[in-house]
Amino acid sequence: MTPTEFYAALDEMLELDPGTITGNERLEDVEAWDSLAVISFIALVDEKFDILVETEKLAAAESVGDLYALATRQKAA
Amino acid sequence: MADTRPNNASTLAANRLGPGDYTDPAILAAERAHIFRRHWHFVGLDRDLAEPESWFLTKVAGTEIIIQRVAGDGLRAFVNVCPHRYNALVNAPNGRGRLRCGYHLWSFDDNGLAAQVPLRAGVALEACQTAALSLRRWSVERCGALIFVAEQPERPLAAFLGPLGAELATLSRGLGTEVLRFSQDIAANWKVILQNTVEFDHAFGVHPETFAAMVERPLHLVPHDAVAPHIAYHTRMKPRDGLKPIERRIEDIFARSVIPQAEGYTHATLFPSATIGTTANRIFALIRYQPLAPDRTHAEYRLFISQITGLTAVEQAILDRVVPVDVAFTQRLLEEDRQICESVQRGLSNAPADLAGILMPGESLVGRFQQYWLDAMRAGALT
Repeated sequence: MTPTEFYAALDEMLELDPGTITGNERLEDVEAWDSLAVISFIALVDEKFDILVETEKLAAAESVGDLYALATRQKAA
Repeated sequence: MADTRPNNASTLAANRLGPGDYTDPAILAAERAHIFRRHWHFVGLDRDLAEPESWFLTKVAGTEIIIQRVAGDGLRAFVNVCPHRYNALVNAPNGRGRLRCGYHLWSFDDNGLAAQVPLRAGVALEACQTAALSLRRWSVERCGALIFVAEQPERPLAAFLGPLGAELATLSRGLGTEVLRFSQDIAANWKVILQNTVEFDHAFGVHPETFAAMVERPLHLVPHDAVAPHIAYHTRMKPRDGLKPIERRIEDIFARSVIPQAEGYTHATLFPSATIGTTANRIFALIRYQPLAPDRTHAEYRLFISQITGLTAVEQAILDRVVPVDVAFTQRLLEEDRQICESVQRGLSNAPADLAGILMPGESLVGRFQQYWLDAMRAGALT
């Protein structure tokens, strides 16, 4: 999954207009990033990458870029 | 003890108990004799006694009781006192092994009979193996995985629980991880606390952001009949339209609970000392109450989730995030209830004896609870 496809998936998950997420956002600035979104992200990564997000690392994520790195690095590992 | 009071309003119901019934030490003494010693009390779960000879200490009606698993799958309940010189047999909350007094090292078998008595100085062991020198036993029985004790039960546990027994057995066997356990003293009479659990008109004043935000309005408590002296009911929750996909997935996960799905909030008050409640089978709260004084009650809370079939790793990860939120919500509800019960008790301490009070139509189950209390007190006084 390319970064662009990943951001589009986040838009859909967070019920945002397509193109809202560009990869530069800090999570604290994304209003829709709440506790339910965190759970949705765990499910999204499971569905798209077939891996289980490490919740400690997810809790430490600060930006959308961190989320993408988290998913892709775990996949690579 | 108060009696039924006259009621001038035909649409309202008499409040059968007066302020003194919640504040008078003589009433509590009578309750211990007439109610608490004659009824069954939920004290724990089979899982608390997983190992052979394991035991735990609990307190019922002011008396410490040791609940022990004995040979096979049997249970015993012994009063925590050595019959030799009155030492408390155990001091820890739980343990394992044959019961042995630390004072003069008497030990006791599964039936409470002295098994070993050192320092006999020629006295025959048989002289110590009498009924008078045996541990005092209480009745102990299981309903599913729930353990109940009684000092002088009027009837077997199954008859006491009636139709609720089968539901409780199913529920208890389906309990999964225990997610929180704590206890606290509540500065309120035990009846204030239990009556608060059988009406929800108070939800809008006491739980405006928690329970009241979830329940369907107008509020309906749908009581289960034929469970006297217990009270069981369920309430409907607001329809949850427009759920997000992850919320639907969470609901789908909980729908795989091995405990049959219940609608809305489901509750049982097991007279006189326990409640079991669950909202949509997500968190199961088992709470036991023991009066310490007319205006003080010890409450022990145990929160569980259900066993859920076929959990995948990602579903478990989702639950790991969801359950703490549900637990925090339940804790907030319980804290709101503690605060209002303590406020009611303060009001009772100020109330003149002739302040009769009243029960509104939505508080009919409070009237039912009060009638059970009156019936039990009268029956106890007659025997």
